[in-house]
Amino acid sequence: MRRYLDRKLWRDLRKHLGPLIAIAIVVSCGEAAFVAMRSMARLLTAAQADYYRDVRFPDVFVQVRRAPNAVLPALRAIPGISRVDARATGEVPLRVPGLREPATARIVGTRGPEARALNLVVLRRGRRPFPGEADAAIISDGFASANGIVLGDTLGAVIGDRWRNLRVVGVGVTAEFVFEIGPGSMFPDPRSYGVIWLDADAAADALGFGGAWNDLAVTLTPGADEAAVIAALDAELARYGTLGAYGRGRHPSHLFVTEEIRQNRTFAFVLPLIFLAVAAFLVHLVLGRVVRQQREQVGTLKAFGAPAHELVRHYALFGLVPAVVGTLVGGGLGIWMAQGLAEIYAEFFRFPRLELRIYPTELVIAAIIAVVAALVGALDALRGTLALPPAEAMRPEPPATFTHGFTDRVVGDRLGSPVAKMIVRGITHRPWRTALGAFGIGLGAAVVVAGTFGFDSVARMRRILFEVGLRADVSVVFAEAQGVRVLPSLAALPGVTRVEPVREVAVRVRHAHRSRQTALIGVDPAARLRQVVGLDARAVTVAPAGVTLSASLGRVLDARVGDRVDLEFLDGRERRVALLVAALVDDISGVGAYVGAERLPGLVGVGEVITGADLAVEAGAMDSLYDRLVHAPAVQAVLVRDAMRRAFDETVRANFLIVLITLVAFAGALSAGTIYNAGRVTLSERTRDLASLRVLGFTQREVARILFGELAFLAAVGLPVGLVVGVGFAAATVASFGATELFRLPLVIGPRTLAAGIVIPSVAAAFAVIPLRHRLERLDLIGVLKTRE
Amino acid sequence: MGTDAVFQARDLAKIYHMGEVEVPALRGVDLDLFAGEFVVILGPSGSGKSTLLNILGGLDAPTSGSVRFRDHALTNADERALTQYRREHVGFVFQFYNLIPSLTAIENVALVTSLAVSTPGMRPADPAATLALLGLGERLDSFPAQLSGGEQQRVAIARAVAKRPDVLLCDEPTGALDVETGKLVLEALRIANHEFGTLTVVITHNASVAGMADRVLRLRSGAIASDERNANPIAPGELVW
Ligand SMILES: Nc1ncnc2c1ncn2[C@@H]1O[C@H](COP(=O)(O)OP(=O)(O)OP(=O)(O)O)[C@@H](O)[C@H]1O
Ligand SMILES: [Mg+2]
Repeated sequence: MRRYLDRKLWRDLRKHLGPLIAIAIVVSCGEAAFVAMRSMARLLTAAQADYYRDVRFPDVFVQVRRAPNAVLPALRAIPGISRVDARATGEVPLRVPGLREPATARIVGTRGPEARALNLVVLRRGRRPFPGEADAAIISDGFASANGIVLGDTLGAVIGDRWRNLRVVGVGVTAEFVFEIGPGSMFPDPRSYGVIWLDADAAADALGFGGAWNDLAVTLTPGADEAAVIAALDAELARYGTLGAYGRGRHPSHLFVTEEIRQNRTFAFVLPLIFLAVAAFLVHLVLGRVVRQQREQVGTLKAFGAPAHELVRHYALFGLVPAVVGTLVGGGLGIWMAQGLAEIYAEFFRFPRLELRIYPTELVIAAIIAVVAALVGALDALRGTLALPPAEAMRPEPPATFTHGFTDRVVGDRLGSPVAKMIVRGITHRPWRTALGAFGIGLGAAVVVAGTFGFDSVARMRRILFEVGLRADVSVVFAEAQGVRVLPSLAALPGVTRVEPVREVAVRVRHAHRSRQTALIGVDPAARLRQVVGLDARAVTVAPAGVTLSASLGRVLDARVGDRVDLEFLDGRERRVALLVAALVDDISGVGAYVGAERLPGLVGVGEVITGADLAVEAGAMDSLYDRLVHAPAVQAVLVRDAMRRAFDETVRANFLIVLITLVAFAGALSAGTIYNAGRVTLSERTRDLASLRVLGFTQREVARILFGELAFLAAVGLPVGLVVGVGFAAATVASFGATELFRLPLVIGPRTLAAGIVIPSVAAAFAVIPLRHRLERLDLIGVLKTRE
Repeated sequence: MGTDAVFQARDLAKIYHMGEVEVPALRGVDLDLFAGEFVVILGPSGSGKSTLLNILGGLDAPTSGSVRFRDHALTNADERALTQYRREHVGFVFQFYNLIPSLTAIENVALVTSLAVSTPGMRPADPAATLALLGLGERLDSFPAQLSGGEQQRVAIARAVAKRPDVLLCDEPTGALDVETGKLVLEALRIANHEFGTLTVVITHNASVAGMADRVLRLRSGAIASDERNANPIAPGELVW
C-alpha cells in the first residue's frame, strides 16, 4: 500500500507542478524574509555587543555646562558607579577643503588604550595623537569618507577663541558616534558634521576647560540601579547646569542602532506570517481540489482497507513537499540576504567588525512555521473527504448544487447574460474561498503600499522641513546665548538681506512624576524665515499664553490642555517656572515646547536669549559670508539649507532602493502565486463547463473571458481591500517609528503609491495567468463528452 | 427531403495513435446525409460511431478523406472556422447532457440562443417556448441538479434545437436513461426534426430505435456495413424496446 501511495504521490506532484512551484515560491519568500531579518538582527546585535566591549561603551552619560574636576571624587562615591571619565567637548564651525559650506565638528578629548578610559576610539587608519600633541587630530570615518579627507590633510577651525590648524593623523570610529546630529539639524549628514578627537588635555585647553569638564561617561557596577544613579548624578550636578544624566536607553547612537535592529525583528514576523498564511491557503486550495478529484480513489483505497493515517500521510506529504522545498530555497536565500544586509548595515553603522555566522535555530524555527502552515492547509482540505464512509466516497462527488441564493436575488436578473450569471455564481458559490483568494491577491497591494508609502511621507517631510519650516538660506547657532546687539552685526555681513533671531533653551518639562528633557522654543509669529510646522505641512500657531506642547510630548508626560507643567531651565541656575498647557499641536519634531518669542527671556529670567539666527542671503555672496561666519568666535555651527536638503535626499535615496526592489518582488510573488493557483483550481473545476461551451460554439476568447472574469473579480475585490490593509500597515509603521523621537514621520499615502499598489500586483497577476491561457487553448473537447462529471 | 446533400463524406479515415499502436477508428467511409432526414446510426461498441459524429460536428479531424458541409470543406478548416461552424450550424446532444450546472434550464438554453442572436442569418427560437414544447414549461428556473436525468436531457435537446441549427447530432442521447424517459427524449428529438426540419443524426445501441428513423446506418469496424431507408417510420411511443 505504502509503495503504491508513494508512486501515486510522485504522479500527483508531477501533475500539479505549476501550483506546487507557485506555493514553494510564496513559502520561500516568507522563509527568506524570516531568516534574513532574524539572522541579520542577531548578527548585528552580536556585532554591537562586541563593539561596546571593545570601546568600553559607558552605561550612563551626562552633559553639563561646566563642572570642576574637584567634583569627580564625589561622583565616584555614588553607590553603583564603577568608573567615571570626564572630558571636554564642544562644537565648532570648520572649514573643510573641497566643501563649499562650513561644516560643524564636535571636538572630543580622547586617550589611548593604555589609559583604559571609556569611549575608546577604534582606529581605521593612522595613529592617535601623542600625549600633549596639540594640533594632531583623529577624525571620524564617516566625515572623512564623505569629504574625501585623507591622512595629512589640514582642517581649520576657531577653537576656544583662536584659529587653529589641525593635522589629520588618524581616522577612527566609536560606538558613541554612530548616529550624530549636528546642532540645529534634524537628521545626520556625515558631510557637514563630524567628530574630531584631540588629545584629552589638548582638547580641554583648547576649549577653555583647564581643570574642568562638560561631558561625563559612567559605567555601573553589576546589578546597580541605573535610575538611582541617574537621580544621584542629577542632584550632584544640578548647579553645574546638567542637561540630565541618561542611560543607554536614551543615548542617540545606541537608540538608533537598537531601534533599527528592533524594527527588522518586528518585520521578521509580520512579513513571513503574511506569506505563510497565504501559502497555507494555497495548499488548502490546491490539495482540496486534488482530494475532491480523487474522491473515488480515496473511497476505493479505504474500501480495500488502506488505514486512514496512510491516506493522511499521503496527502500531508503532498502539502509538505512545496513547504520543504520553499524552506530550503528560502532558508538559503535568507542566509545569503542576512549576510549581505548585515554587511550593508555594519558599514552604515561603521561597526569595526562583523562576524558572519549562520543561526541554525532561526532556520529550524522558520522550517517549523512553514511545515505547520502547510499541514494546517493540507489537513483542513482533507477533513471532509476522509470522514466519508468508503461506500459514499466511492461514488463521484455529486455535482455542485446551485440554487437561487441571496446574490442571485440581488443581482441575478440585472445580469442579463447567462455568461455573466455563470461568473457571478461561480464566485458566490464558495464565498469563503473567493474571499480568501481575493485577500491573498490583495496582500500584494498591501505589501506594496506598506513598503513604498515612505516615499510619499518623506516627500511631505522634505516639504515640511525645507519649504515650510525653514526658509532661511543660512542659520547660525551660537555657542552661548547672545544679546540683541548681535543682530545688527549679523545684518552687516556680506549678502545678508534679513536677520531673524532664534531663541531656544534647554529645559526639563515635568508633569506629576513624569519628566522629559527638551528645548523650549520662542516662536515669533511674524518670523518669515522659520515656522513651527505640523505633520500636515501647515504652520502651527503657538498659543499666546501658557506653553504649547507637541502632542506626542503631551502623551509622554500624560499632560492635557489645562494641566500645569513645571519647566526647569538646565543652565545651572536651577530656575523653575510653572505654566499651563495652552495647546497640543501635531508638529513634526514631536517633543517640542513652544512659547511666544517675546515671553522667553522673561521666563528664563534674563534680558535676552538669542541662541542663533536665521539669515536670508543673496545667492552671490555665500562664499564670503561663510568665510566670515567660520571665523566668528561666537558661532558654534553654520547650517546651510541647500546642503541639508542635499544630504536629506542622499540619505533617502540610499535607504529606499533596496527595500523597494525586495518588496516589489515579494508583492509580485504573493499576488501572482495566489492568482495562479486560484486560476488553476477554478480551471480544473470548470474544465467540463468550459469545454462544453467550446463544443457549443463558444470561441476560445469567449471561454477565456469566463475564467479570467472570475479571476479579475478576485483581483478587483482584493486589491482595494489590500490597499486598505496596506494603509493600516503603514500607520503601524509610522506609529512604531516614533521611538527615536527625533522627529515624526507624517503618514502620507499619495496617488502614486496607491497606483503602484494596484499596478504591481496586477502586472504580476497578468503574467501568472499566461500559463492558464495555454491550458485553456488545449482543452480536450471530446474527452469531456465521454464522462460524467 | 432535399436533393442536395447536407453532408458529403468521401473516403473518410481516422487513425488514433496510442504510443506505437495504431487504432483505426474509421476506414474509408463514404456518406451523404440530406436535409430533414432522421438518421439512426447503429453498431457495436468501438465501431467508430462517435468518431464519425464528432468529425461531422467539427469536433475532430479525419486522418484522411474529406467532409463537406454544404459548400464548406470541414477538412483542413482551422480551429476558428470549426468553432464558427459549430456555432452557426450544429446542435449537439450527448449521453451525459453536458449542461452548465450553475445555470437554470432556461439559462442553459439562452446561453446558446444569445450566441445565435448576435450571428447574422440566424433566427433562434424563444428559449421558454422551446422548453415548453419539450414539456418543461414548469421547470424553466430549475438548476440541472434539481432535474431528473430525462429532464436534463430534454433541456440539452432544447438547448441544441433552440438556435435552429441545420443539423442535430446526438450521441447516445438515451444511453443514461430508462425506457420511458428514453421514449420521452426520442419524442422530443422527433418533434425537433418535424417542427424545424432539422437533419437529425442519432447514435444508439438500441436497435429498436431504428423503427422511428427515415434511414438506418450500420457501422462495423469503422466502415458502413449497411444503409437502409425506412418507408414507414413509427412514433417513438410505439417502439418496442
Ligand atoms: N482518443 C482516442 N485515442 C485512442 N483511441 C481511440 C480514441 N477515441 C476512440 N478510439 C478508438 O477508436 C475506435 C472507435 O471509437 P468510437 O468512440 O468512435 O467508438 P463507438 O462506436 O462510439 O463506441 P461506443 O459505442 O462504445 O461509444 C475504438 O476502437 C476506440 O478505442
Ligand atoms: Mg461512442
